Amino acid sequence: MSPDPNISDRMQAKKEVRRIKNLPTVPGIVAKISRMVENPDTSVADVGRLISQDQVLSAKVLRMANSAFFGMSRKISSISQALIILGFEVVKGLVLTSSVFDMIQKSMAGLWEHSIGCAAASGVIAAHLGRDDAEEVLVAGLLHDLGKVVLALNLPEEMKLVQDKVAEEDLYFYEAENKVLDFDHAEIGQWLAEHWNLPESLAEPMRFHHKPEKAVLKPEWTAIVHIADILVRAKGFGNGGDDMVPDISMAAWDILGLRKVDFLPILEKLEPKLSSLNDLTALN
Amino acid sequence: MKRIPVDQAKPGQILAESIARHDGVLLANQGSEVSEGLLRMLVRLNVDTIVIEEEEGRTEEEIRASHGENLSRLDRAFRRVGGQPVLMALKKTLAFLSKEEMEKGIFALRESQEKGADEAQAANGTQPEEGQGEAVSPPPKAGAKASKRQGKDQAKDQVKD
Ligand SMILES: [Fe+2]
Ligand SMILES: [Fe+2]
Repeated sequence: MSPDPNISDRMQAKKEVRRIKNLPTVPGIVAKISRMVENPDTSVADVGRLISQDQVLSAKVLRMANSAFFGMSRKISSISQALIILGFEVVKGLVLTSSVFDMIQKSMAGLWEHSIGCAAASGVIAAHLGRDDAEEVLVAGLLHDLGKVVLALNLPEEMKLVQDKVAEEDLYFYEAENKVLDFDHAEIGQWLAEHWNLPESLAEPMRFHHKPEKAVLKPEWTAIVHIADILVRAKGFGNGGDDMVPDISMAAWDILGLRKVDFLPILEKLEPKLSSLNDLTALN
Repeated sequence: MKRIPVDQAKPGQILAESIARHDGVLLANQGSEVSEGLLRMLVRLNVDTIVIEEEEGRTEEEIRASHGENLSRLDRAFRRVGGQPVLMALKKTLAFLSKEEMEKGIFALRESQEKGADEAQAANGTQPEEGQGEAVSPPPKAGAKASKRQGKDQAKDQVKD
């Protein structure tokens, strides 16, 4: 990271993002679910009922639950069914994604596609590795670049400077962010995760997907999202802010025990998923 | 356009006619792409057939050109990581898959051209008898067959290396 001579500017910018008003408030439904779960008397069915009350949101959640993401052979037709089949954490992640969907779409052209592509790739890698938490890892992939959304919507001028720098100096998006702001969307993601009280399973991949070797609580999830981000960019699916494949962390590669020959089966499984994800591109 | 059974439809095909449910509710618009989700829904609603646009109409040159574009895009996307062996393996795999797709596309194109030639022949009143009719077949058919065989062998060889 380049040392910034102007520390006070950096602090200023940081404060700006940290200012509660500037960070988007946690979606109401997500806050409600979190409160409900704190109560030991709450059952999964209660949570299901709460989500189902919002029909627009539920419809979005069900569309994702029935998309190529999960490759369900039978249709999931209700939130309660989704809770049983996909599990509470996954449904909560889909609720969160659905409630920030408009924000993601507004923030940056192609970022939603980048996000669903990275989600699909995370799921495929996790399944290839024989993990039983593939669905949950997928959700972490879905939300990994949420920091970019906050940057675009809450600091639009800085966003413009970052985008100009990417174009002028042929940089990765996070490099340009660090030059302009001295922090990047991964850090913003971390602040947002704290502010929204998101679980570590989502927070760590958000924070460390560009430096996966730093993850301590969910190192494998973070490593999977890191590799998935590389795959979607290599496929040219969506737009993550620049058109380059990021460098790979060999620590992430090794922790997963991946080998070069794994690329072929992973990409062959990913391709049909990506091409059928276009029914998610307009989630409304 | 042609009408095909739903179980033969593939994601990515273009609808030549809108699809409506039996009670008239519109399920998908003409011109939209067939998705996996739509196919699942059609099966559920017992829709038997749909009408899709025939072959995209890409020529062999266009199929080759799009493979070429894929390769240049890969060069651009990997320009900062050229020395990374794992990422170079990824690039090579993607290039291989693109080439494979091109070969499949060309093979399908030649096959459909051959079928077209057969149908034209049938329309002309000639009996399209396989095998024994070979000697009386007009040159175009024999030519198409030969090129199809060649395409198949080529594809096999290329995948091997
Ligand atoms: Fe990122
Ligand atoms: Fe990303």
